[in-house]
Amino acid sequence: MALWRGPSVNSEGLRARIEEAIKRLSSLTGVSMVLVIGPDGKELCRWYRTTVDRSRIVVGVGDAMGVAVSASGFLSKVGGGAFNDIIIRTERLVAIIQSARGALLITVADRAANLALLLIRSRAAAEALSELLGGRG
Amino acid sequence: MREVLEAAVEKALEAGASYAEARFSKVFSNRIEVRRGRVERVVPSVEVAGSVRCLVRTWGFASTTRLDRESMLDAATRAAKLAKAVSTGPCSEVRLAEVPSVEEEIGMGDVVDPRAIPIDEKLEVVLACDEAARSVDDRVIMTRLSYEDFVVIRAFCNSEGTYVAEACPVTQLRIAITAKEGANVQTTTGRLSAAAGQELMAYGDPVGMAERLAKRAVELLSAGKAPGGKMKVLVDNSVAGLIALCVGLLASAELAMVPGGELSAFHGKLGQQVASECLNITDDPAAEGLTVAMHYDEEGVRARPVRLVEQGRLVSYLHTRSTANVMGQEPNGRARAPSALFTPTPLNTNTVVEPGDRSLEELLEELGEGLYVIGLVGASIGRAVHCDCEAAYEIRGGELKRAFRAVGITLDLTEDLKKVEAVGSDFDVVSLTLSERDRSYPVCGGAPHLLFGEVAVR
Amino acid sequence: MRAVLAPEELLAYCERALRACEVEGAEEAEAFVLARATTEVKLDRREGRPSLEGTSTSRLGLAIRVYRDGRLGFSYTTDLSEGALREVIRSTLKAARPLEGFRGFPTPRKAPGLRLFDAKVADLTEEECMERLLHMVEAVECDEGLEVSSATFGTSIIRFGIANSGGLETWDEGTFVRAMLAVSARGAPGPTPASAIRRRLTDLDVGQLARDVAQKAKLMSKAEAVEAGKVDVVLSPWALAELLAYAFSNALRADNVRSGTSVLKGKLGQRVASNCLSIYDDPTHQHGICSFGIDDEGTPAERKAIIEGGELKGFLYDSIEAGRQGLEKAGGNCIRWEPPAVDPYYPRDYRFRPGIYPTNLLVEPGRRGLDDLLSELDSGLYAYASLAGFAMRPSGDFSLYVLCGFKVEGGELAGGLKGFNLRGNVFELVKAIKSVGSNLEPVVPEMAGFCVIAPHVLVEGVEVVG
Repeated sequence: MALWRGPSVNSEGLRARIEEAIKRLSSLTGVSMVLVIGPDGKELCRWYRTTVDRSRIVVGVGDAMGVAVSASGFLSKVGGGAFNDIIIRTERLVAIIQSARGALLITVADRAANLALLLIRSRAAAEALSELLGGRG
Repeated sequence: MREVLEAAVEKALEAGASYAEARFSKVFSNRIEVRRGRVERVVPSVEVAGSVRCLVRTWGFASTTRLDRESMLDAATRAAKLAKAVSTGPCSEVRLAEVPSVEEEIGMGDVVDPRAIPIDEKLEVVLACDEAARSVDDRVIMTRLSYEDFVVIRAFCNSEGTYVAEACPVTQLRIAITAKEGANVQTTTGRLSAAAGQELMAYGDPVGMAERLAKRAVELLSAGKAPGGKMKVLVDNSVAGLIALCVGLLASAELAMVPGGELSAFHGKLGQQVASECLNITDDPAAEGLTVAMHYDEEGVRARPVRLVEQGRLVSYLHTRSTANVMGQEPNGRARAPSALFTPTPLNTNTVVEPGDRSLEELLEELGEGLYVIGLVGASIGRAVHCDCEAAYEIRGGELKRAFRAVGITLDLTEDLKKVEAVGSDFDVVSLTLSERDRSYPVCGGAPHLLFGEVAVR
Repeated sequence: MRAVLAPEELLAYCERALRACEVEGAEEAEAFVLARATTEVKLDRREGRPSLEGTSTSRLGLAIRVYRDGRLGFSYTTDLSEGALREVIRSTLKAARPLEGFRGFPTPRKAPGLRLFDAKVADLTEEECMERLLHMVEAVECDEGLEVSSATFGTSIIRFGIANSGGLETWDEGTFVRAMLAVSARGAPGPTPASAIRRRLTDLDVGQLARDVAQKAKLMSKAEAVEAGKVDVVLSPWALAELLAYAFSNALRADNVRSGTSVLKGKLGQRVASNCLSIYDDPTHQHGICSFGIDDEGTPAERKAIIEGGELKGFLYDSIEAGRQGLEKAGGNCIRWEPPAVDPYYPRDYRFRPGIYPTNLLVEPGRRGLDDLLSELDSGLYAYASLAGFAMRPSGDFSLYVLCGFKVEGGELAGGLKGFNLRGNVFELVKAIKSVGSNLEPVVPEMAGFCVIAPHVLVEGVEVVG
């Protein structure tokens, strides 16, 4: 996964537009956290539904990048290209790491959330983000 | 509910029946239709039904949509009165093949219950698929998306001591995309269908499917028209699945009992060669991930997998208890009805062709010169089966050459099943709804690629 | 007497539903309750084994339409408990779609209801049904060369109530009696069918039905292949109904005219059919299967001219379409039916979304009996029984498979014909009608939600394909 030196200026205007892009995703029932990592590997935005979620979900940029890098390594050995999305489910939650052409969109939700809609809105948000951030994967 | 059903059975016996059964069904359903971005239909509904069927010399049946004790007892009385009245007529006596009595309740399993998801969220998924398809290309002129989910709850009880109850979800999405350029029109269709809940819409990747269908429809616009005539044809899983489904349908004892009918190709053919020796076909009512999940049929008989065709020979029909008795065969639990409002009829469930040993490359090599037909769009099933397919590839020297679009093939099931020369090692399914008047049944056909020595192409 | 709910009970369900709609936040609401009871006895012969079955169905269901924030929703339920009702109404509000030009549900108007209800039909016992069934079978089988392959006799009663938040409250009821036969003659390619459905018991003569079909079945025993070409044809009421029921009646819908999919758009006042053809939408006709005093949203019934002397006079509306087009009309053709489902007695039901369809499409009879028409034909074909015309294209192009047809020679039926296709376009066919028969038959086509009251007609120059 290549890093790209893009607009690392985390201006107010950009942040507002990023929040707008993830609004529909974060409003879905059951979503606890949304994290946006820019193409340069810097955290651009972090959203939590409640303060309990904020104290409970402590995943950092490094953690998410670690999964992405491992996945890419795995894919390179099975003949695949770059990943579109990685879905991890446990008994109680769902985590999605969505590629947004260089940027990464991470969503954590309850297992009971509507997965079909979660995937659709995550994809839509990723498209909006990749336009905003002009990334390349 | 069990108590009411048992009381209804008792009442029918008191009123003079020699055998009685009572059924209950409750269907929660949601139907969504979207065409070209316009929402044509969003209808949630609930249908409850109860019925009593009883025997004197022949059947009397009464159904109701009111499930209170009084209404069910009234249904029992009506059924018995009818049975008595009709039994005075000139008819053969109905006898039922013996089955063990059983008590079991089967739940839905680990699925995402469609009832827990609000209907507007389901609509959003369908609209996302529609949007994805239309944004592929301007030449996509029509999109038809039809989504349905059901939760079917059934219970059955009879005078032999059987009580079974079963709950089952069904979710399905059908997509048809049409692209047009000048006078060329091309339609592609795809289906996601399973006895499953909402998780199907997540894992089945319906948006991806809609996009792929749209891309294919546009790609095929530039393809020409296939040559007509009889030739060697390799069919893909969707077409082979339809053929499997047709075999299952013809195996219904009721259809096979009528000589000279539209669908009686298997009349009098038990034990005979109806297909090529390389074909083994089974009807499996509860195979994982397929469209139908039925553990007990509408007569309380355990529905087990039934081998229909063994190395090309017809070895079994699909029965209700009375057809099994008439033909002197084992009952195999295929009595199906759309709900408790209808009398049961023997019908197939998920009919599958067992995969063989040829890879796709080997099949193409064996084909040599001919056509590789893919993508079932629609079919009409009668004395002849007419399939409309998305496309076909010209095969020369075992290699894919030009693509053709909108290809049709016609099969005469009394003859053409014997022309299968090789069976692929892969597998996929196609699901359909069989309808007649106000009865409709989901059915499924699964198969590998099949190589036919000769098929009529139009 | 088979009972269905009394009108007061039906309207009570409607009231409960309306109140629940109000509580759930609907701005406007409509409740439609239908109770139906059908009893049928059926004989089937498979491989020479006769089997008899008696069935009795009783259905009660509620359909609601709710309007809020510019959106209209529809759903139905047969679980009428308070909890289930609330749940269904909530789902409906969630499922509601935007609707322009909605002026509210129909307002109360004087609509006494036709109440074409024959107590003799309702009182028919199971034994009496069996008697009539066996009588039909005997009337055919007294002739040795004939066998009844299937026969049905049954009765149906319906009663429905409608109430809406505008204060409309009305109801209507009907009875139906139906007989069906399929008769096989030795050597015939397949069975010859016949069916008849009536509102009153005394209007249905099963003996006559049996004798007619027996006569036709005998002619089919030496059926020959048809000669292809352009031929003059007498169409039976059943064949004519199959031709008029799909593309032609869909073109009469005002919503199809507005959206541009109707072939008849812009043709009001123009000649669209032969000048001997007049067609009415007549919900008051004494023999109409779909005759009621109100339509499915409570608008009073009214006879309307569709075609008079070949000239197009009008289209069909419901209240929503009339509102959309800004017209003062009441509507009158709101029909709860969706293709392709059909109940053989009465096709409309609570399960179906209201749409625009005819009630009874009446083809005005002429003065010539079938014998006269056949004489006028002199030499040609008589198309008696066909498959459904449902597959015809919206353009009106059709290929109708006639499974029972006869050669006509010297003005008389000369022999049976093996199955053939009639091809053409229905909008051209109605222009080629030369004569209209005098005997009307009410027919509910195979896959239509309304009745066509049709006579025999003589049509010139129809393409026949073997």
